[in-house]
Amino acid sequence: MSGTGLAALRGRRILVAEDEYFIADEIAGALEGAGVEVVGPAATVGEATHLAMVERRLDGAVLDVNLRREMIWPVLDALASRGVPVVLATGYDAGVVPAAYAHLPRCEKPVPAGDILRVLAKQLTAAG
Amino acid sequence: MVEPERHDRADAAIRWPDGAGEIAGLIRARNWAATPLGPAEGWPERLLGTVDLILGGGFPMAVLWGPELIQIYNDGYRGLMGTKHPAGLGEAARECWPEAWESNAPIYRRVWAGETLTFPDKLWPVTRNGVPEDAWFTLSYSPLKGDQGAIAGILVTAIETTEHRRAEATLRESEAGFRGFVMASSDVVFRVSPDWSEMRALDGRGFIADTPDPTRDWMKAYIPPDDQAVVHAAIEAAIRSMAPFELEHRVRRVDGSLGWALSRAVPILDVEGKVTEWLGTAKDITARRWEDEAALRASEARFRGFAEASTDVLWIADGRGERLDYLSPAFEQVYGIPREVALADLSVVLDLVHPEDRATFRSAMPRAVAGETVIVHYRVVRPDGSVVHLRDTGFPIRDEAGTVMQVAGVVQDISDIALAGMALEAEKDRFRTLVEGMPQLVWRSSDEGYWTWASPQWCDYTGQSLEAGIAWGWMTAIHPDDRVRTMVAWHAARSQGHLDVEHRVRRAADGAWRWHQTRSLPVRNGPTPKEPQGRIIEWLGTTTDIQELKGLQAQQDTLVAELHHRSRNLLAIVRNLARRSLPASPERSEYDSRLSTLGRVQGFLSRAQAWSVPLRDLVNAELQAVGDGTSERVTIEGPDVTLPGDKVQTVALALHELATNAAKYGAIVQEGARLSVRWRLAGESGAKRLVLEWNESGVAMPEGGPERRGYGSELIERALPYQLGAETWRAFNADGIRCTITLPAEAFGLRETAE
Repeated sequence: MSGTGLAALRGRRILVAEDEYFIADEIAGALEGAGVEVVGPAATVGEATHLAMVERRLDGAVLDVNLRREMIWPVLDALASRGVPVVLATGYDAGVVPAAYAHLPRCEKPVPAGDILRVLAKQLTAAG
Repeated sequence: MVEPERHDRADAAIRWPDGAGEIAGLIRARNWAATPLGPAEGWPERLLGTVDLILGGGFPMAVLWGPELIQIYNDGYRGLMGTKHPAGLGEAARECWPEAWESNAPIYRRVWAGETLTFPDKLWPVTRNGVPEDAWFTLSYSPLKGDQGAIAGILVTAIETTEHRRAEATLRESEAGFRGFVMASSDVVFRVSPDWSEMRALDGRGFIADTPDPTRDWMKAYIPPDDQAVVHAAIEAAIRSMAPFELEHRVRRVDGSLGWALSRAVPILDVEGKVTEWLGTAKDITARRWEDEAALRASEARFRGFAEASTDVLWIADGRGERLDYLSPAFEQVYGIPREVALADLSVVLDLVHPEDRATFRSAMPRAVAGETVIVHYRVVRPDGSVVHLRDTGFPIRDEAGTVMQVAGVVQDISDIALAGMALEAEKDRFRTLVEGMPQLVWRSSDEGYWTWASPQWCDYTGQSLEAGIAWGWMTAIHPDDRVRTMVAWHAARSQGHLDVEHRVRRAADGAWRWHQTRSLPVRNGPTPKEPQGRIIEWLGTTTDIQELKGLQAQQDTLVAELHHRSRNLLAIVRNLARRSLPASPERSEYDSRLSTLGRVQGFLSRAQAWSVPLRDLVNAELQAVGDGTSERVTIEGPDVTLPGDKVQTVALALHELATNAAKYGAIVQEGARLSVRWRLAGESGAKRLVLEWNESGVAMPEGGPERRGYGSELIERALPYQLGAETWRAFNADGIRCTITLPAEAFGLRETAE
C-alpha cells in the first residue's frame, strides 16, 4: 500500500485498547512507526474508558471488542460522544456488535497490524 | 384293741367315718394309702376316735397326726383352710403351709414335747362363702397320744373371737367419740333414744331451745314442717346402717325464727354391741348458709348479666327437653321471633329451622336429655326470609346424684364462619383451576414418594387413571432404568428438604420416553421444640418435560467439544505451516515448543469441568515437557489452587519459558543443581495473593546465558503484569535464576478442599 495512505496518521493521538500484551505491543509498535502518538495501550475496559474521557486530544482509537471478558461498549459511548473515529479489532463476528455501532469498521482477528493502520487512516481521512 | 374288732373294721372302713358332713364324705373318698398314714383301716384307734370326735365338734378343730403332721380337720375348720381346702385334707402341715412353717414349727415342737399352748385373738384371714375376710381366733394346740401312749399327734382347736373383738372396738370408738363431743364441743349437744323417737336431753347453747327432760315431740319443736321428711329419711338411713348421722337442715331457733344447723350423731353401743342411744351435736351454720344463698343469688345474677349481654343465645330447658325454662334476649335477634313465643311453645323454633336441617335439629335434644353434650349445625329461616347459620351446643345439667335435671345450651351465629368456609372452598377451586391449567404435571405425596393425588395432566400424559397413579403406581410410568435413581432421590428428600431428580416419563400419546425434571418441596406445619423447622405434612411436586432442554444441552456440549477440537487442530496446522515455511533452526524449535504449550493449555481447558486448571497440573506439564517432572532434584509444593480459563495461557507460557531455560542452561540440565517450584497464599486472610517462587540453586551460571532479553523475559516482566495484574521479580544469582510471580486475587481460584 502507498505511503501516502498512512500519512494521515502522522502526528495523531490514537487510543489503543487490547488485553493481549504481545498484540497490543505489535499494534502500538506499528502505529508509532507511522508517526502516531499512542495513548495506552489499555488492557481493561475501565482503563480505556478513563482514557477516552480524560485525554484532552484523541484523534482516533483502535479497540479490541472484549477486554478481560468485558465488552468495550462503554468506551465506544465515550468516544462517540466526542466524535472520535474508531476501528474495532475483534475475534467475534458482526452479530455481537450492537446496532448503534454496527457501522464502525471492523478488522477481524487474526489481522496484520498493517491492515489496521490502513483502515484507521481511511477513517481519519474521511473524518477530515 | 382286740383282733376280732379289726376284722369288723375292715368292712366298716368303707363307710367310715359316718356322717353327712362335707369333710366326712371327703375323708371317705380319700385314697389314704397314698399318704404316710396308710389305708384308714390300718389307723390307730386313737386317731380314729379323735377324728370321729372333731367331726362331731362344734368348734373348728384339726388333727395333725404322725411325724409328718398329716392334717385332718372338721367342717368348722374348713373356713380357716381357705383355698388350701380340699387339697390340705390328708396333706402334711409343712407342705400345706410352707409360708407359715417357720413360725409354726417351734409351736409343734413344744406340743410334741407335751405342752399345751394357747394363743388368744390371733388374726387369721379366712374365706367364707368364697369371700376372704379378716377373722380372729383363740387357738389351742394340745398333744394327742397314740395307742402306745406316746405323743403321736396334735389337736388344734380354734375358737373364733372376731365378733367379740368387733364389739370391743366399736365400744372403744363410741366411748372416745362421746368423750370428744362433750369435752370439745361448744355446739348443741343432744342424746336421743336408739330409734330417735325420744329426745332424752338437749343443751341448746342459746341457739335452739333446751330440752332438759325426755320428750317425744322434739321433731315438731325443732324442725319446720317442710323439712321433717328429709330429716326423717336421714335418721332412718343412719339407724339402718349404724353409720354416723350427718345433715344440714333448718331449725327453729330460740327466738322462733328459722336458722340452719349442721347435725351429727353417732350410735353409742353397749358391751353386746347394741345401740343404747345416739349422741349428737348441732352446729349453728345459719350465717354460712345465708352467705351461700347470697353467693348463689349473686352467681345467678352474674349468669343473667352474662346471658342478657351475650350475642349468643343461651337457653335452659326442662329435664325432658320439652319446655324452655329460660331464653336469653339475643334469641330475638338471631331467630327473629319474640322470646315469649318460644318460651310458650318450643315447637315454633322447629318451624323456623330450614327444612333440610330439621332432622338434625330434632335429633339433638333427646341426646342431650340422655346425658350427652351435643353440637349441631343448622340454618334458621327468619320470618323476614333471611337465613342464618347456627351452631347449637346442648348439654345436660345434673344434680348431685347425677340425674339430668335440666338441659342447657348455647347457640352461636356462625354465618360469617360459614361464609368464610364457602370462600375457602372457592379458593380451593381457584387453586385447582391453576394447578390443572399449568403445563407441569402436578402431584401431592407423602414421604418416600407415596403419592396421594395426581393432577389430570399427569393422568392425561401418562394414560394412568388417578387410582392407578397414586401410592407408588406412578412409578410404572417412569423408565425402568430411572426408577432406582428416583427412589434414591425420594429417600434422601426428607433430610435434604427438597426433591430434585431427572427421569424419563412415558408419554401415552406416542409411547415415547421423554426426559422430565421432578421437583418437590415439603409442606410443613408450625415449628415445635423437637422439630424447629416444623413437621412435614406432605410434599407438593411438579414433573416438567425437559426433553427439548436436554436436546439443547446435548447440542451445546457437542458444539463446545467441536470448538476445542478445532482450536487444537488449528494449532497443529499453524505448527505445520511454520515447519514448511521456515528452515530448521533453534528459533523454529522454540516457536514449536511454545505452540506445544498453547496446545497443552487447550487440552486442559477442553477437559476441564469448570473452565479452570489446577496450577499443580500446569507446573507438572511444563516440567514434563522439558523432560523433568519427576527428578528428585525438583521440588514442587503448594496448596490446591486453580487458574481461570482466560488466565491459564499466559501463566503456562511463563512457566514454559522458565522450564525451557532451566533445561537449556540451568537446574534441570546440570547434575547436582536443584529446582524448587513453590507457591503459597499471602496477604490478608491468606487469600489475597498467590505467590509462586521459582528457585534454582547449585547452578554453574554459563557465560553469556541465559538471555536476559527476549520473548521469555518480556513475557514475564511485561506481559504478566499487563495481562494479569501480576507483580514479577527475577534475579540472576550466581548459583541460578530466581523468579517470583505474585498473582492478584482475581487471577486465581481456591479449590474447595484447599481450606
